[in-house]
Amino acid sequence: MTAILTLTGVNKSFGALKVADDVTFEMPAGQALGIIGPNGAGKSTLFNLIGGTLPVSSGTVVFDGADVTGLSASERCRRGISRSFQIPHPFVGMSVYENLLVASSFGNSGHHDARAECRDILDRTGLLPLANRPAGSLTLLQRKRLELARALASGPKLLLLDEIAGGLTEAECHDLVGTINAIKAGGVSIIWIEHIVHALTAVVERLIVIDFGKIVAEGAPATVMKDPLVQEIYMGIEVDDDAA
Amino acid sequence: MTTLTASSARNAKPINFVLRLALGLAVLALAVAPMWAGRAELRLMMEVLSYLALAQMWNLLAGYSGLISVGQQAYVGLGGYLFFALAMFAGVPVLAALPLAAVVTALIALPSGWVAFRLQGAYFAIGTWVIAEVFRLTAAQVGALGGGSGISLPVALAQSIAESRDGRETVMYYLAFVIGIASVAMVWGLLRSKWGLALTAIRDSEPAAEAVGVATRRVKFLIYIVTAMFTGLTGAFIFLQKLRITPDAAFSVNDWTAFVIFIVVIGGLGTIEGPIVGVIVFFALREIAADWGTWYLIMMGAIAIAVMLVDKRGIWGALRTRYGLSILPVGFVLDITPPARKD
Repeated sequence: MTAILTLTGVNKSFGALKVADDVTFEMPAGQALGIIGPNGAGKSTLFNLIGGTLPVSSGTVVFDGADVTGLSASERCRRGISRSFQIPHPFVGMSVYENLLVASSFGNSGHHDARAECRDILDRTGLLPLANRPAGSLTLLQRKRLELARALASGPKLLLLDEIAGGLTEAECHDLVGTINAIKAGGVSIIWIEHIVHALTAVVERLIVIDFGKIVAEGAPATVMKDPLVQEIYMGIEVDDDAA
Repeated sequence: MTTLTASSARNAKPINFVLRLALGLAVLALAVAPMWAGRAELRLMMEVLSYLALAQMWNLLAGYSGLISVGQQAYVGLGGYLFFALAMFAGVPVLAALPLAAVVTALIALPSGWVAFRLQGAYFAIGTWVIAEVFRLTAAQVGALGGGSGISLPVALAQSIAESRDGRETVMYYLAFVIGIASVAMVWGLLRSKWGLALTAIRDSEPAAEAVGVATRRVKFLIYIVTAMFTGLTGAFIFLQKLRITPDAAFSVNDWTAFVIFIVVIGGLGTIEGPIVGVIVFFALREIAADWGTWYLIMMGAIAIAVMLVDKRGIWGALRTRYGLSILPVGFVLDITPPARKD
């Protein structure tokens, strides 16, 4: 199986603070990988390193057979890495459709009918009725859906999803899992950071647990969640899931 | 509720039709101005059109690309001096020297922009000012161009445009007309293209624009060069009209940057219509307060601060949001009516 993404000895420090500590993993193409860990463990930082928003302090990031460590975020996007932001960053002065059109025009989509493709993505993410609304008028949950839709419009081979299920009702969460499974079925590799573990395990085949910037456990979701270390880390932080 | 109006509905609003009609009539009136306006009015309109071009360029930089430059006088002055040098010493015909000065300005903006782009945010702003000061001091050192006391355009060169004074005024007016209208048309055309999507995305969120594949640094640098070129063209024209150039006038931070920022900020940063509204307000105030001396500048400053405190989106920015106004629409609209077929 060919790897879509390989991280080798990736480190990132802000002064004395180590936010990624020798992170090494390989991800086969087509896989869905979940990342969990306490708040502040370095999950979003890891996305910034994979997506190119932050430069690594050391180590290499190889994507789709090419070393992308030195490339900018936009160049990585044009090669097929797309992300959603944990705190939505909509283009507030543009319509929902235009938000997708930017991604479709500048991402990895190549030659295509941008209008039809954006329409299709808006339909799949339930945003079609809002297509011509200013993105600044969307509610938080709609903004989260827009993050997903916009990332899809840039034509990803690898999709990085950062906590897009937070705050959803049970039914909405179920819909979202269906949407993401459909994206996965379309051949897109996915890395998903999520606190809502049951949503995550409904999609991913593999789970990585991060704490203090380090991978502390890795494997099939059921095995990983039984790991005593993981249970200890998760003790008391389960606010999003079963604690309520 | 108006903020939720779809852009298609926004375009169809009767008030927007009226505004567009007014704009069209204004352009038409400007196009035939030499037929109805006196010499003084023509001169005023030339100045208005020059400032419109400078304001459109500064807005493209600051309002869309997030590049706050307080050193655009560098390119006004450079355009002016290059024009004088090309026309007087290189023997380039006056009307050809204008665009050529713009092109050379853009070439010089490449290295100076490269320097400024090493800096971020407030440091970028200060850097642009320092670059402009370096240009001013350099211009004062060039003896052939009159050094610190400046130089006048020989009468023969001015007369090469047209023999009669009226003829010259008419040619000059149409140069200003083309520069002013072209600045708006260029920005409008740019914003309606794929690059407009990129610029608007950068305006709204630079990290997100970068994340969806927009090479934000490259786009911003390109805009910096384009605005330098057009600012240089405007500067070349301004000093052709003045017939005299000095380092202090050419690289004046007050005339070419402070007033321009005032125009864009009170009109509405990050909109095409904002600089148009701003330039009208600016010149209306100037005409009203022409005899007030220093008080006039104090009043301008107070108005700029008041606009920023009351609504920092500026006059057009606030009205646009409240009443759903749009004169020069730039958006893309998706037809979301369901397909007729049933499946």
